[in-house]
Amino acid sequence: MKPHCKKLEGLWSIPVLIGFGLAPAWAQNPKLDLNQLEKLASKADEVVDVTLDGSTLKFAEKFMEADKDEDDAEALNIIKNLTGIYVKSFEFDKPDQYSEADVEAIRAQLRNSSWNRMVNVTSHRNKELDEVYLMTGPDSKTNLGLAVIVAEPKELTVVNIVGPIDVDHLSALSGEMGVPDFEHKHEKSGGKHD
Amino acid sequence: MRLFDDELRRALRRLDAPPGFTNRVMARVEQAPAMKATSVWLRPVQALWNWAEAWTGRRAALGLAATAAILVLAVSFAVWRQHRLHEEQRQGELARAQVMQALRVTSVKLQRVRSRVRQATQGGDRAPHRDKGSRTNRSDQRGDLARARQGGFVELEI
Amino acid sequence: MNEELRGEDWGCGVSNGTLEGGVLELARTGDSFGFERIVREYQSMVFSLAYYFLHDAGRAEEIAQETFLRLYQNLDRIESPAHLVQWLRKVTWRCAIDDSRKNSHQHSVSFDEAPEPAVEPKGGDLLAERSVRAMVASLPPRPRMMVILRYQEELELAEIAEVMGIPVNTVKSSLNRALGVLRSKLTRVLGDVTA
Repeated sequence: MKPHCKKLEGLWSIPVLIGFGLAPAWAQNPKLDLNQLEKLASKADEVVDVTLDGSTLKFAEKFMEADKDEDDAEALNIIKNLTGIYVKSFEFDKPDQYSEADVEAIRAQLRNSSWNRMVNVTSHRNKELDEVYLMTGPDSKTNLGLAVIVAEPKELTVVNIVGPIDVDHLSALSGEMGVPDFEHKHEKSGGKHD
Repeated sequence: MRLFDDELRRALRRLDAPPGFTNRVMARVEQAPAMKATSVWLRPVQALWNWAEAWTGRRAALGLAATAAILVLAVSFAVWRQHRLHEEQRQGELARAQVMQALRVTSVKLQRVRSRVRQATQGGDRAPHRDKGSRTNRSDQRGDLARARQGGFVELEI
Repeated sequence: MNEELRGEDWGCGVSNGTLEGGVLELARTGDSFGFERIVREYQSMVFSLAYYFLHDAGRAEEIAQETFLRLYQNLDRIESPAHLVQWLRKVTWRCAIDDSRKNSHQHSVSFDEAPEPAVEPKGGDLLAERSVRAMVASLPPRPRMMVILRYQEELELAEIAEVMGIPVNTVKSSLNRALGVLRSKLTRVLGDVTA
């Protein structure tokens, strides 16, 4: 407890302490509001819109054949304790189909103290933005949620995962699940990024 | 034998109804409730009922009708249940597919981020690299997600 | 009231029981003229069945009226003219048996106990006819109707079984026994009728 709190006297200290105690818990909601992005669907050439809450994930788990399919086993391992997966991904046939305000509406939710920005890669020249956020628990060891924003001229993707996600495990899925290893592909093409 | 039969036929030949019989019938008919309207789809059911009643009598026909109703209910329930199971299977497969798709997209994007970080830190565009909070020295900075998870974060501007 | 009726008493011809096409459909639409045509066509059949079974003209007319009233209320269930005829026979039988049970005027007796006619007919068909009718009326209800359907309507055993809702074999055995009793009684009254 911070030193200045000790100076508080009387009954006023109780609600303040309660407020301080509750504030972090209240602010720790790893679920983002992505509804404002839905208007982009009408302009997009391709849309991936996935909304999976806890009950749906549990339901889906029943239909994963972990003993027969490696991908299913891998996916089951990742999602087993999650309470939500939300993906909004839009691919446009021409640039400037979404605005900075659209992206800012999501980033504003990630600026509170509960989210830790782990990665920020910005290219003003290419008008690209890549960010990864992680929400950890009070012990700083347990992950409560993950948010990924990838913004390119003709694509916008926001991923929000709620629950104890293993980021290394998730990112290590490249090369599996039918996903090409982007890094290796990039190196082979001589470092040019499209 | 033929004489006997002829005697019976002659004795039991049809007789005329009493005079005015038709008028009396029509008078009663006019006072009677209107003909019961039967919807088209009920006619086969009525036809079956007529047949059952004629062959077995009313009580047995009721029993047959009750048995038939129970059978119809049992079959309907079985069909409904099968449909429910099939629908549940379909919904489950759909949910699974959505999970796989979501994980694929996430993985691809994380891979992209990692690649961009490596591209930038390996001097692809000579971008200034600011690394805050990392305890490692500059030469050891790889800018990948594992290091970021360890307490620092990577901020690159290209 | 127990009147003896003869076919020629009223000066009306007895219908052969065939219905013109379209009359049934007309009646189904609620057209009273169409239904009246049906009544006129089959009133003889229905009344005769009831009369020979009950041996009472008043009750027979009541049964016949009731039968046609039920027909009027169930016209939509009648599928064809042939179906109509069978339907009328069935309902007449049911109404008649219900009436006989309700009134219990004619007690059910065994075949051998069927009474001899009070007056022995002497010459003339009328007397013979009256004797035959009386003997038929004295039969137990089911065999009685079997004989009537056999000789008035000239139905086959299967058709009789369908009208009465009983197995064909039952019709066969009951009818044979009833005819055997009638034959022996008639022989005693009218002389040899087996020629």
